[in-house]
Amino acid sequence: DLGSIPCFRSSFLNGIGGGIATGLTYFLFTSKVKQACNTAVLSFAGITLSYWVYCRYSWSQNKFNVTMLKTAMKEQVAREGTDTDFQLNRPQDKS
Amino acid sequence: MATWAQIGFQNSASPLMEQLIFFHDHALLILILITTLVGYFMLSLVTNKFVNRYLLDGQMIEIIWTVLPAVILIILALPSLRLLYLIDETTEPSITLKTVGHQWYWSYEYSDFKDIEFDSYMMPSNDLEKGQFRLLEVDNRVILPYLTQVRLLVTAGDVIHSWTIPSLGIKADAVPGRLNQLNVFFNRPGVFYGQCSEICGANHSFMPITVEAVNPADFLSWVKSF
Repeated sequence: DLGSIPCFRSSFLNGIGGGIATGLTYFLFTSKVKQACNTAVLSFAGITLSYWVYCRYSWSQNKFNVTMLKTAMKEQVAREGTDTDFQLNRPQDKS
Repeated sequence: MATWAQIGFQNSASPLMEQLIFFHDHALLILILITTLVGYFMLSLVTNKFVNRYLLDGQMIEIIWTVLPAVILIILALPSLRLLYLIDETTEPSITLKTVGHQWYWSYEYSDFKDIEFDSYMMPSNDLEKGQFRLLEVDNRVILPYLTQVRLLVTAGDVIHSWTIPSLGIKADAVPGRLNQLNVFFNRPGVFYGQCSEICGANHSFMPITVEAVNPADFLSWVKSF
């Protein structure tokens, strides 16, 4: 199911929308149908690929942060009440 | 496990399989874009009325159709090489499991604690209970701890077999007289299935692999009970 791949749907939607917009804009300024179509298709490819790279990079960064958070939460459960409890080491607790 | 008419990968059970799926998504997107572009170019070529019998070259277009594919190949190659070297990173396994392929069953040996050995035959379809999977269930499952690095040594006792778990993204030929090593790491508990992947005789399709990933405490209890 292609729709369940992260960033797939948004990349294609942005690519198609951006391609149509670019092609229409080109046609508005030049009135050349064939070249406007070429511009639209090439823009679609470029925008899709660029958005995909950007979206997947930010998604993987977010995933990494979530994994770190989950690991910290699990560790905190184990450390709570002991000398290594994260909360005991907060600067505001020491003052 | 796979289901009827499944085309895509199974859900990943290890970080490496997750990365393999991500790379597959990346490559698939590039393939779809290339197919769309080439289809458009073909349509454009067929529907125009341009004629030039004396056309010899076109410097700009030749530069474009050389540089653009090179750029696409680099966009594909960088994550591919990253993953290739990630798969080959050295690990420090905590447990070693030996797998021996026979006609037509697998035998497993855990030699780290006490000498645990058992055979794993497919459950006949007549003996299956409700909810069990045909051609995938075995009488004795491989029990392994999750979130633990495991070294798997694969060999065979007669003909060539192949040991695989698709949801882990691992496969190795079981060759008589040879030890092939796999690194196994489950990141979640569960039951994972595979099937022999090298033709080995009449019952090649009837020697499945079933691995149950459990928490380390339960694994140790199982070892003690053996």
